[in-house]
Amino acid sequence: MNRAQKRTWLSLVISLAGLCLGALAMLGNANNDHRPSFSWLGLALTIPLISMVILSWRIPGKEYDERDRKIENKALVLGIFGVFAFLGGICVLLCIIKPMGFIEVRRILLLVYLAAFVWFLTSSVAALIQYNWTIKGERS
Amino acid sequence: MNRTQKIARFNLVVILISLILSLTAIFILYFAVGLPLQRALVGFGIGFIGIFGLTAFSPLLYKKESGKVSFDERDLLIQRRASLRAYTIFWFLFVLAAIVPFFILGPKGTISVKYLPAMVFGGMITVLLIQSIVTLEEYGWKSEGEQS
Repeated sequence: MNRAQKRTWLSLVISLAGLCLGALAMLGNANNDHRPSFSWLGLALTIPLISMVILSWRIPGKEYDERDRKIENKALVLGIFGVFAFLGGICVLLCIIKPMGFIEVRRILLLVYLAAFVWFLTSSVAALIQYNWTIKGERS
Repeated sequence: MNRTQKIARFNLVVILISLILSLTAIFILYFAVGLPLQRALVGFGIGFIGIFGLTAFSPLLYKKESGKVSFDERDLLIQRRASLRAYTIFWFLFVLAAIVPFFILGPKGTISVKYLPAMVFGGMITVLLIQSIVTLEEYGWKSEGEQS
């Protein structure tokens, strides 16, 4: 497994954790009862986000070879497709549930967090599929 | 001009046409006809942005030629740079669009659900627009370039 693959696996795990935390925070306050435990959960989402930033510092992209770069490029593009599919789905769902309704602004912030984790997750899965999910691969 | 440039040029033209038509419709309906701004925006202005959907056909219009190498390392580098710039600007604007109402209305403030589709649609336009501009900029805006 090369550095790029290790980074992708780590990114996958962190984004899954972030997505689970975000979904819990979103669903926990679904009845608008503003329970503080779930609000703290929302704030805790910054931990996986900071971890992603640290990850990109610790394992920089410049050590990659051409193949890794190509894979990363395709994964990035697929990641943004994932984000738009996720956000589009949420929009359709909201328009069906409450077409003339209102949404709390803090939920929009939470959605941005979730969208970021969907991006990391889709990119990681797309990259790992291109690497064939192998644990033992070429070393770069 | 190679395939990537042609697609970028097509996308840029379509986005600009849809934005210009949309803004013209909003201005005419609001200032000349006297419709309320919300109706001018939602009813007609946004309608013209539907033309933006034509960008989905750009890969079909400019198909890959079989038996030819249509993408080299330079193209990959340009595409990567264009994607990264587009995504950076998209995320910046997307986060800003979420933070601004939070600070204006407060944490318990509410906003119409129509705001979310506008954010997403605006994001898509931003990504495609920046990607097209950066791609054409990197190739030098020339109509006659290297054929890869």
